[in-house]
Amino acid sequence: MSAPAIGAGSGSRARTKTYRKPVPANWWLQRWPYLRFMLREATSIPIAAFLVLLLLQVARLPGAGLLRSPLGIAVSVLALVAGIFHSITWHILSAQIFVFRLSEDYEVPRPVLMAVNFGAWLVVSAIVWGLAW
Amino acid sequence: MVGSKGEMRGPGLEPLFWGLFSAGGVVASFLVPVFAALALAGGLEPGRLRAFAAGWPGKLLLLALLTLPFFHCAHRVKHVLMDLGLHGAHAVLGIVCYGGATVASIAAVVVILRI
Repeated sequence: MSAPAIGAGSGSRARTKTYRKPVPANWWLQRWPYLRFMLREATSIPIAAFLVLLLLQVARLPGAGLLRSPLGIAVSVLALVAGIFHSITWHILSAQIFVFRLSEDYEVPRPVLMAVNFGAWLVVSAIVWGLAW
Repeated sequence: MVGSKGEMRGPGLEPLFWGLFSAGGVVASFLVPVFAALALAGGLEPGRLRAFAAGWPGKLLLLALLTLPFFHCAHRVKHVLMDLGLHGAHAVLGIVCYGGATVASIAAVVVILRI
């Protein structure tokens, strides 16, 4: 992204000032797509909390069930909702980003990639459930 | 890349963290919902979790789940805070978020391999 500096003297390090338009701190409340973006970013908070609890539970094994405490249940519920939201948006997104060309003029259609993503998510979930249960 | 003062900077460690963010996003998208559901259903009770983590499939799944997604979350939290106006604290946020993810990941590797 670095643009060539105009007028930078030879030997001096190029430093370009970029104008940044001031943005109000509540910009993300002004349009639904912005809010949706922030909500998706915010899914990382309950997910991180859940992973920290799970890590603490693994660390204290065979100690008491941390994830079944009222806090653990609340965090797990939030992480389940946030996790499903993250998974759905991520699988849709990655199908938009990746391009699979099977030949010179055949590209795997987006809906097929998305179906593969969601199918793989289902299979992995079933395997993990089967292993843990 | 435009830094906090509007100056052009080199990419630094950003590509590494972006890679970890992306890998963590993939791992989280496949594993977080099922683990959260298991926790709610009682499938991660100490006895069950111990048996799960004792085998190599479970160990590898836990290693993936308790390392890469931390970097994913760290990246998102850092950028949300920057988007909320903390552009100036870019460096401090980076140290706190990625540092926290690194510490948590090392702790996870140590703890999981000990079981």
